[in-house]
Formats: sequence, C-alpha cells, structure tokens
Amino acid sequence: MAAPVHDVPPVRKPELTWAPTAHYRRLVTVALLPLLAAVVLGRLGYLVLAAPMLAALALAARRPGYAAHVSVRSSGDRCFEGEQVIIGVSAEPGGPAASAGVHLMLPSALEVSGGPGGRVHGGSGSVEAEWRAGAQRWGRWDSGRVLVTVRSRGGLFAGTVAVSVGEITVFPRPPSLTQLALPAQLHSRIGDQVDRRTGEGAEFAGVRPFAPGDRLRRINWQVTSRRGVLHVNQFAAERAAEIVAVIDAVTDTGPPGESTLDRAVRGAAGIARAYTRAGDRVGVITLYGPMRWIVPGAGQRQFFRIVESVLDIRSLYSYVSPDMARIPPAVLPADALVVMFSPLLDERAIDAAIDLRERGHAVIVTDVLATFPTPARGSAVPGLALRLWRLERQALRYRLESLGIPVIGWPGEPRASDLGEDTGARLDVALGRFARQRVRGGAR
Amino acid sequence: MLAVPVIAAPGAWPVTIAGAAGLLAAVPGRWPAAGTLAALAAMVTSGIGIAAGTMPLPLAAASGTLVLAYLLALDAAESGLTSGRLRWVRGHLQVLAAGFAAALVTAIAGMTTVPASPWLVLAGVAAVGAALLVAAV
Repeated sequence: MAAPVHDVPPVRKPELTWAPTAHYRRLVTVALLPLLAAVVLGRLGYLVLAAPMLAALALAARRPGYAAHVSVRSSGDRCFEGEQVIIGVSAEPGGPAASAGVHLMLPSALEVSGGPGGRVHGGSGSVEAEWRAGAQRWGRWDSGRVLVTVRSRGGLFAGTVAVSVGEITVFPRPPSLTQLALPAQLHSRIGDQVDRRTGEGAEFAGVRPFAPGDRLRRINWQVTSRRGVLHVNQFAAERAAEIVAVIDAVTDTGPPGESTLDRAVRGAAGIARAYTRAGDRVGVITLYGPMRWIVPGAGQRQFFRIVESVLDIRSLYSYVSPDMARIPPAVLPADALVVMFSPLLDERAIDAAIDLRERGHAVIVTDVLATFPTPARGSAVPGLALRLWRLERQALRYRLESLGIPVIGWPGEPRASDLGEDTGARLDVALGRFARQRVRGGAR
Repeated sequence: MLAVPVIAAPGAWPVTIAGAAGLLAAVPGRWPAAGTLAALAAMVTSGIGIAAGTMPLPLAAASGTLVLAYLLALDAAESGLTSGRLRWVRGHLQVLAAGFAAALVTAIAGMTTVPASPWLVLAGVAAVGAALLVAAV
C-alpha cells in the first residue's frame, strides 16, 4: 500500500538549459536551400519560397531565458520491497511557453506500476503528473529524476532540466516465519520460548514430591491422593533465545533482485522480524572480510537496526578472509543459534561456518544458491560437468552435516502465483524441522 | 500548387516521387527526417516550376506557405500534442499569415521593376539597421 503524498512539497526554481529544437533546425534547412539557389543562380524568385520559413524563424528566434517552477513530492523515503511509492510532480514555466512536459526516469530498483506512461504533456500552463513506483530491490537508491521540458512559444527552443526526486530506502521483504528454530540452550533472560529447564513459566513440565518452600496452589491433589505423599506440579521456564544471522557477502551471484546476496539479506530480515516479534534477541554478522555486526538485541527497533545495517553491503568487497576470532563474545554469545545464509561458493564462508561450529555454536547453514552453472556452448560433456558440480555440492553438504552443521536449501520464497504449489521452497518450512528438534551446539 | 510544375515540367517528376515517399515515411513515429526531405523535395519542385516559368511568384508564395504549414504540423505531431489542438492552430495561424505575407511582399518585390536609386539603397540600409535595433531590444 502506498502512503499519501506529503502535503507541502518544496518548490524549486531550476534554471532551464535551452537548445534549438528539431523544428528550428528543420526550418533553417528548408529555408537555406532556396536562399542558396537564389544567391548562386541570381534569381530573386527563389527567395519567395524561403520567405515563409524565414518569417517563422524571425517571429520566435529569440532564445528564452526564464526558469521553471518545479515541485516534486514523494509519499515517503522508506518502504519495503513490493510496496509502492507515489511520486508527484508539478511544473510551471516561468515565462510564455508553447507547452510543458515531464518525464520520470527511475533507477532499476524502482518500476512504474501506475500512472501515466512515458512523457506527460501539459498546455502552456502548468503540468501535473503522478506515478506509482513499485520498489523492486532492497537498498538505498536515488529515487530517480524528473525531466522537465518546456517549449518556447513558437516551438523553436526547448528548455530542459532534470530534478532529483530524492533518496529512497527500500528494506528487504522478510519472508514469513511461523515455526522458529531454537537452540538447545536458551538464554538466561526471561522470554517467550519454553525452556527444557523448569521454572516459572506456564507450560506444564511434570510432577515432583513436595519440598519446603513450594507454593500450596501448585499441589497436584490427584497425584497426592493416589500416592499418599504431597506432590506439586512443575512448569517449564520461559526464556529468550539468542539468534545470530550471518550473511555471506563474500560471494554474490544470480540475476539482480534474485541474487544470492539479495536472498541472504531477505532471509536475515525474516529471522530478525520473526524472533524479535517473539521477544527473542537477534543480532547480525555480515561476512565479507573485515566483518560488521550488530549486537543481539530485542524489539522492533532492533529489527530496523539490523535491516538498516545491511542495506549498503552490496558495495562491500574485500580480499581479506573473515576471521571469526575477531568477533566479540557479546556479538556471538555461547548459547546463541547461528543461522548462516550463504551460497556456499567461497571457501572463506565455508571455513567461517566450520570455525563457528568448532567454537561450540549451534549453526544452521541456509544454502541460498538458486542457479546452477551453464556448461560452455559446444562442450563435449556438458551433462557430465554439471553432474560433477552437483556431486561436489552434495559432498560439501555431507562434509558440513558430518561436522554437525545442518544445511537447508532455500532458493528464495515462492512468488504469490506459486503459493500452494511449491511451499517446500519456503524458509518457514525449511527451518521448521529445527522447531521440533532443537539445534545443539557445544563440543562434538 | 505543387502540381503545376509537375504537370508542366517532367524533370520534376523524380523529385516529386521522392517527396511523396518522404511524406509517407514521415508519418509520426516512423522516420521524422523524412519530413524534412519531403519539404526539401517540395522546394525543389517549386524551384523547377519557377525556373521553367510555369509557376508564377504569387503561387510560389502560396507553395512556400504550404510547406511551412506542413513543417508546423510535423512539429506538432512530433512533440506529442494531445490536448489544446484548437489553441495550437490559433497560435500558429499568425505564423502562417506572417509567412504568407512575407512571401507575398517578396514576390511583389520580385515582380516590380524599380529603377536604380541611391535613396532606395539608403532606405534598405536604414531598414536593416532598424531591424537590428528591434532584434537587440
């Protein structure tokens, strides 16, 4: 849904850059032919043919110098992928004009999904236009430019100016997660996740003999009467889980918008949203060489801290191998569940996952690779090369799983049209099995 | 108007055919440069008519104005004018009238035989100076 357009947009008066139009050049060309003939052949009669064009040129030959009053407004500078932003423009020539027009030029991350297509023309007065632009890809983007064109009276000159719409921050669209994978050990902070330890929660955990200090209201009278000794109910403790999402930014492959990094960031955003909603603490580590991180925290604010911190990672690149030893303990608590989003194409990322597991963390690797290599055209054994590559991938998965790192495949969320047919591709389903069977860390 | 030299001078036929082809090719959105070629062809055809003596100068003035009207229409089509067509026509009628008047004055000047006079030269120079002053203001 698009938010309403801001009420009071600033009015700018950009200078127009004036240049002769094609009409001007055409008039000059057509007038020059009889003029030259008249001079070369010495016949005055040819001037009669050139006279109408020369008169039209003389009537409006003065180059105008006025500016334009341009007002560009946007419904917001922040949105999620798939949401729409309304961009409105009004332009008014600062002097006499034959016509005015506006044309919206958007970056590849935004796509016009509603409103006039192409150039919008107005009369000699102001021109107004409004477009709906759909955010296609997360990141910080220039919202595009509006090209304002004013034709002078007579149509011999056109003044143009490009006005920037501003910047827009597109947050990744988080996949919906309903089943949360949990580590075997929960954090000591109070939360909503049922721990295996007994405590002051609401979930029934068992019955034990009465001990001094137990509350009387917890006495289980049925068991007490059956056994003849006082017994009390026990409840499971409710604790907060600590989750650290690791984004492999070492490699990025795939089409724009659906690349492995795009999916990894969406997956991490999904983790952040689902766990922060459940009252758990979530942090993020971006793996690209000199690493960046956000210390685990709770709440809606933490979700936005995380998604804002990953918006500019497309521009990061380094040849330095990520060193997990550099990460402070506060960023990666011992009992945290690490969910790594990686295409598993770079040894540095694979080594980082193994390193984390060897340090005793519970690690799940989510394979975000959705494409496979295309054999070279004319290759004698294209099928064999692809089979070998797939076998290598399987061997890598087996190697990681034998080290205690479960690997799940997530080639992106299915589109709305595919829902109901290919639900196996959903991250929710892929991670769901760890909701029932908790992920163990510790020494192997 | 343009048919006069075509009928009288067979030499103008190839140019006329080329101009007609340009006219068709310049249908909005196809090939805008063809419109200029069509207008140039019309100029050449009229020039052949003037040279052959089959096109009197007042008719040549009308022919030049017709070419100007065509160029104005071509410009309107190119600039994607969708609304306010009537206002556009009204605005450009003045241009057409000025063009036709200029062509007629030139034609009358061409047809008039004036004896050589230093006063005429002086008047011409003064007109040029006045035109420059008007343009500069």
